[in-house]
Amino acid sequence: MTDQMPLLEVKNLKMFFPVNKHSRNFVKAVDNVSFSIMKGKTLGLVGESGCGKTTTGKCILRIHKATDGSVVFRGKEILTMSDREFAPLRRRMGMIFQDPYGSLDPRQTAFSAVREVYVEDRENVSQKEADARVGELLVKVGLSEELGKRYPHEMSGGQRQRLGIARALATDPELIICDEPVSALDVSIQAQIINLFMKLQKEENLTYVFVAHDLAVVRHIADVVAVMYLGQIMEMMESVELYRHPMHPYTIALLSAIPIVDYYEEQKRERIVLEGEVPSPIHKPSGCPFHPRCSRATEQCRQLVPELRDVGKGHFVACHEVLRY
Amino acid sequence: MPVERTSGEKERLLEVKDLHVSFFTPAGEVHAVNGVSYHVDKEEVVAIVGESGCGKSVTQMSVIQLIQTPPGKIMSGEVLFEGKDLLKLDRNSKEMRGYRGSEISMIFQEPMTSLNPIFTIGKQMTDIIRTHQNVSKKEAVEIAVKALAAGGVSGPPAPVKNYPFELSGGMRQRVLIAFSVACHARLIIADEPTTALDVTTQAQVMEVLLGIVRTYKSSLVVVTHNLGLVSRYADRIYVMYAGRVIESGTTEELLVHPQHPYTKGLLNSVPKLDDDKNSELEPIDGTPPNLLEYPEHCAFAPRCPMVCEQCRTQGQPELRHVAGHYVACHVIGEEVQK
Repeated sequence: MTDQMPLLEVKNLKMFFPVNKHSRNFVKAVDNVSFSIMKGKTLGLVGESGCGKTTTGKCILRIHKATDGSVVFRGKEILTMSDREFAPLRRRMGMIFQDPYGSLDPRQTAFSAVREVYVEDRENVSQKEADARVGELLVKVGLSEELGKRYPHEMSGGQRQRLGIARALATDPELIICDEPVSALDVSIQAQIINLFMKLQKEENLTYVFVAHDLAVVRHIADVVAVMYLGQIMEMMESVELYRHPMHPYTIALLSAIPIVDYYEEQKRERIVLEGEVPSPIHKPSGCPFHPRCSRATEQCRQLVPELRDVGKGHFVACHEVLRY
Repeated sequence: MPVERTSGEKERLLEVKDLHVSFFTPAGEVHAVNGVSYHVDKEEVVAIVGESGCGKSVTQMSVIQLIQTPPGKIMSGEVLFEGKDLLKLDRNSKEMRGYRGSEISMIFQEPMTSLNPIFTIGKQMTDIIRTHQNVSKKEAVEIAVKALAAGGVSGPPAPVKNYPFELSGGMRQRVLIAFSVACHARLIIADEPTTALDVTTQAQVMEVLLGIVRTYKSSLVVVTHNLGLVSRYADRIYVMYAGRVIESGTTEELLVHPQHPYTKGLLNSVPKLDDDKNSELEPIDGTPPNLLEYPEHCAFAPRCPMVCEQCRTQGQPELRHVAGHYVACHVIGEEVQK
């Protein structure tokens, strides 16, 4: 595999959940999502609850069986593979959850939780070697040997998240899907974990899909940010530039809605308060999904779904109004 | 946008003095609040900021005596609402209930848990209105509809016939805000009002809340860990750590010239929208202290980058007037005195 090839390439991914067994109504959780990530980079997926960012992550790991589309990992199409073929590749992908407490066995110490994953992934590994490597892993994520003996309930939120990271790292993954990994943490701890993510990425050349709703956190950690709304990517671009020159009306509103800490900056900032609520993904609006809340919506927006198009310098926007210029 | 008010002519609405609250657990006494003092003036928006477990919510619950007893107990202190000490009232007395929900209204983080799932919004609102005001059912419904409209939950038709589960998170939160409007609350305490909501909904809810505070000339206490939210909406800020206020001042003073090492750390921990991407965030090392042991000395000392000998020996630092605001720190205070 060459460096020019993306590690992960998602094309026209669709995930429709039937509302019930006999219904022809579908929840269009993910609708035509495409992106690619180079090795060692981070893609940030942002959006409000229900926009399909988590489902996208889960489809990549085949936790959900995608309705349509393609996911190419290390040059291989994984959605059509058999489970047996997929298994070794699956181990090169990890997942980190928002609340690690829910994914940890309460009766298992930190050390054994990581060891379990480590041993499972490898054949013919000696007891001694496994113990030594797991110890190293724990130190790497900032957990001392002493903490390894603790049970999940004896640990703080930040420590549990470190443990979740250690477990994900135990299979030597190349790609890690991080699903809101810091949103349940206090700010001072959040910063510790974000720094840990960035340190590990440098050391291990990891690739992240970082799902979060906090735009400031995503900007800090991601190289490319994709803004999702009702299952579609609205805008995608290199992260710093996206925050400096957002083009899509939704991105602009989203950015203006985040309150920022800088007092003087905040006082002079213009705020756009969006009217109404996010529509239900069962009854998605026709045309552009954002048009009912958009101040610039035209007749065209009501009828035609805008395509995600390159407007130069790798800046992708799905908006009729923006593309007109 | 916070409006500058001239000092001197402010009227005190709420004053909390030296509040101590403990919880008696099987593991021992947890000193959740250790001598918190703060005040809220009329028509003022005050923010109480801190991380989980710093006692910010417990302090607010104590104001309206909602601490579950046992295991919790308000050990000492005063809560003066317009000069009257609410802690002297029995928590179940009619007088206390008159304050709670009517004069002082509280909005919680998860609105679903504050609303009864088996009654309609209208039923729940009219119940409360008729508890506090001598009106007929019909009048109560009218008040409810008006209050809901003020809270930005207007119809048509107004959701008085809806059940809580039929509303979205942002709507539910605005329904609770409407409760405060219906009862003409003088003081609204909002405990993490937007934490469970999305950013765009957060903005909606905060705008509605602020609008109501301005229109009805009430005061607002926002408890939050989100410093951004505070910088946009609050007039004054109190920063809490380990059950104590460690710094307080006007929003501008505190955010632009933070003094206490914890406040500085907190501000540095937040990723900014304009920071250098390759720079590391500067987290505060370590974790907050376990409050099973009463902090004899400065509780922040183990995590403090500026820690000195006196921090570990000279007891808890008192709030001192330093550079335009109040700071509880041995080191900062010393520097200024020199």
